[in-house]
Amino acid sequence: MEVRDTDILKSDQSAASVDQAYKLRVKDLNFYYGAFQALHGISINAEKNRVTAFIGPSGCGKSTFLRTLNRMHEETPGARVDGEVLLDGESIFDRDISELRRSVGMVFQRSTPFPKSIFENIAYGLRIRGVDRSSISDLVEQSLKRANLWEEVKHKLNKSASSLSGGQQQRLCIARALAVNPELLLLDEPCSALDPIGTSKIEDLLLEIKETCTILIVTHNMQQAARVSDYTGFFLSGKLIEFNDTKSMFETPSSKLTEDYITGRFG
Amino acid sequence: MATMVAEAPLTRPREKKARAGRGDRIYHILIKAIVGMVLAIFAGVFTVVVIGAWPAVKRFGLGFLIHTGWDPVHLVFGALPFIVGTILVALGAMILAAGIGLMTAVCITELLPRWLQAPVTYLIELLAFIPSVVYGLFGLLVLAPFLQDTVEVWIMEHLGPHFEVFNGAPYGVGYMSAILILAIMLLPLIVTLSREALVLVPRDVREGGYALGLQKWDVVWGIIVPYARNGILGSLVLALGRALGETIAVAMTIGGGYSLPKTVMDQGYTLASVIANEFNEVSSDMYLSALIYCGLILLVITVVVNILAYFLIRRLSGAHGFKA
Amino acid sequence: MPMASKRKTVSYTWRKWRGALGFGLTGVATLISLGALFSILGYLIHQGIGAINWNFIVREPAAVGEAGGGIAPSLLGTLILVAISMVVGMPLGIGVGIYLSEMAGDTRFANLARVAINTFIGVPSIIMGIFVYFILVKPTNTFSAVAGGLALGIIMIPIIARTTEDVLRLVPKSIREAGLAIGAPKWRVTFDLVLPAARAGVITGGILAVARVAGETAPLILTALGNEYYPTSLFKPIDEITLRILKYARGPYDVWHQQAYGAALILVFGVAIGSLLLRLSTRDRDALSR
Ligand SMILES: Nc1ncnc2c1ncn2[C@@H]1O[C@H](COP(=O)(O)OP(=O)(O)OP(=O)(O)O)[C@@H](O)[C@H]1O
Ligand SMILES: [Mg+2]
Repeated sequence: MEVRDTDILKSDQSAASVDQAYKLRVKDLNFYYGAFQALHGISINAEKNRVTAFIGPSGCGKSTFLRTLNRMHEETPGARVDGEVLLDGESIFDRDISELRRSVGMVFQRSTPFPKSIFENIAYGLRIRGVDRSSISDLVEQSLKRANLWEEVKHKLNKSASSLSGGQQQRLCIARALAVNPELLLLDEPCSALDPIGTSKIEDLLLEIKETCTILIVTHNMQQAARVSDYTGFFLSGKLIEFNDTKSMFETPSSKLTEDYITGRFG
Repeated sequence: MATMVAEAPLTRPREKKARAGRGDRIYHILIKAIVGMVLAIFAGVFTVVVIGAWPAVKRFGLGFLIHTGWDPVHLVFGALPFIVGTILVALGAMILAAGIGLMTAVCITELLPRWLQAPVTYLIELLAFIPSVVYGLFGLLVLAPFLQDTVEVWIMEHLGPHFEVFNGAPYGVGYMSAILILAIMLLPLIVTLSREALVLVPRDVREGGYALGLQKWDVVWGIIVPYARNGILGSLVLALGRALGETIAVAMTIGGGYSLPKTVMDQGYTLASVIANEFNEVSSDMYLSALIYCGLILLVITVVVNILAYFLIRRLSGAHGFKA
Repeated sequence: MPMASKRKTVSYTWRKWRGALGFGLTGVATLISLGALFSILGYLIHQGIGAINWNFIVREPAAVGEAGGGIAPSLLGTLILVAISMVVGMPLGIGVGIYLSEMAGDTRFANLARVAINTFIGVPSIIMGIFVYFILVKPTNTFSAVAGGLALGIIMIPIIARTTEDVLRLVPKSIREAGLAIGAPKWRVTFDLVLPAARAGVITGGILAVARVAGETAPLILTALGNEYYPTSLFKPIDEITLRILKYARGPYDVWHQQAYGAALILVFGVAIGSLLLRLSTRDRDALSR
């Protein structure tokens, strides 16, 4: 593995070699909701085909950060951002927004099924992408299976998605995001509505799909971060306090604040 | 650091916002075209009415507003009787409907048992669905003859000799019929909207009143109604706008006449009803233009009332409670 | 509290009597409101039911003042006028509603447009009649179905725009964000996700607007004029049910009066069904926003 401690963030290495290693590079990202600054100078590099977790107390800016990465903040009036976000070396702000979002999947903190049938919830994204009609129903089945939902819904694909339980809805949203094969997958507390079995299935899934995709996940569950992630970042009041590989982070945190948080002394 | 905005970092990527996709561009253009078209129609309505009224405006000027006389043969026109008629009919109907409507709303929310509230409200809302022409029909064929035979005769005989405003002939159709019919038409609007305002009064406000040891009526009249006054006022202004513009029901019941009213039983016209009743009789361009001039006056009055209402409701809806 | 201390000086019995009197008056007011409703509906049914029969619905009007005949051209004309008005009013009204809810936010221009819409809801309908008279009837030299429908359509626009904006705003923001997050362009999010989610509300607004214009008479006097015969062309004068009621109510014949009641009964019945549908569909909307 290459250099990967926080020094790399400031290094001036030639862009080309760095871009190859890193799927996503964020430099000096500041985020404002009107006059309120929610993120302060965030810099992060996320390695390809790895899971990067973000932890931190409620309200510290984790969701805000994640939303910036597929430019969802542009839907919030008054939200502004400066700094650089490079996906495969190219600024995400230079790309066509719909096309960017098709390659950057996102699962929200609260499940958000479309007011459509279960089948249509997943098929919709495929149609948007212009996937061939004949392969749609196969792809729907495949992504439902990957999200561990197929067995529960295969008999009622035409029922409304809102008839599902909260956890099922969340898995549907994950299936929906997976169906379009994103290069980068953003997950905002995807397991908060799931039971332990569902959670561990999702975790297995993450380990499986990182073969083909880079994953950023926000979680409140320290064990989960330790289990699934290769890297972990710790946010506090809009600042990235520490960013390191998960093992070092949990075993020898370099910041007192991080240590306090992961040992449960606050937050 | 806090909220300092970091001005001009080395790169400003967000300035080079990528263009929206083609579908979105078409969608934006389409929707904006629709908005533009609708605003153009609105502007067009004003323009066309002004242009239509222009010959009469040029000829009669503002004197049109204060002159009496409507002579299509000699082309002498003055709209004062219609302006006065519009205001009298609207105010008369408003006074009746506001009083009865507000009391009905209070009765529904404060007096009736819960199981009766919804059906009574629904029945009164049903009144709002009856088209104007049906009110006109009822006014013309039922209410007016009834008034003519009973109330108006009594008024003429007993009050007429003593008060000039009651000293008229019992035509049936006339101001009295028009005001009554219009009042019935305004009722559902006032009842529905002020009922909504009363229902919104929070529980603790009511209970605070009882905690002071006040009687139920004192709580209702002294606390609940004043608390809901913004909503009630809003409903009244909306109703006023309606009253000023109501056309066909008034046209059918007011009888028609070109002079200033002297008694409650006189016949006359409002600005809207004179257009409806005379439009298909016009014999010259100047006559038509004078009618459109009446429309222009009506348009200005209702627009002013509606804009006032809009800002009044918006300003008041922020401030609640007992503050002045 | 000055109010309480002042009240204390008033005797207890007087306060009780005043309360009884006050509530008594509100009760009387309610009886008057309901009485107005029942006397109008009652009279309409009493007088109108006799006029309604099969011929009344399928025949053309009889010769002036004679018994028999029907109001078929008026019913057909009403349908045609309402259809034209929907063609005009629905796309424009829904378009403006979409703009205000999905695109404009709280910009100055959007607020200006909102003031304009609220103002136009209050503009008397006869003014729209004047407008269409000058832009269509006078230039083409004929009253027509198209002119009548256009006038009604313009009346519909602000009503539909306002209800559409209101119901679209009820759709949770998360649905839009989820759509955008899978890369759907805005227009598809609006048409595939937001509008279907608000369908019941949009339909309600449509019914409300149709019920409103179906009862309009004043603008039609200046545009559609009325006709004794079946409509043959959209560019000729056309009859409409409220115009028919107006004509018969003002006529000197008892037959006409009775037919006016009959036509009014049909109209009120139709609109009441509309209001019932409205009630049912608003119940759906409440369920949606929950
Ligand atoms: N739309 C908004 N407008 C203004 N401020 C906002 C908005 N959304 C979030 N914030 C603020 O930005 C800060 C970060 O919020 P964010 O949602 O990113 O927190 P979070 O770390 O995801 O918290 P949680 O763990 O509870 O989900 C908070 O202080 C929040 O109040
Ligand atoms: Mg969050």
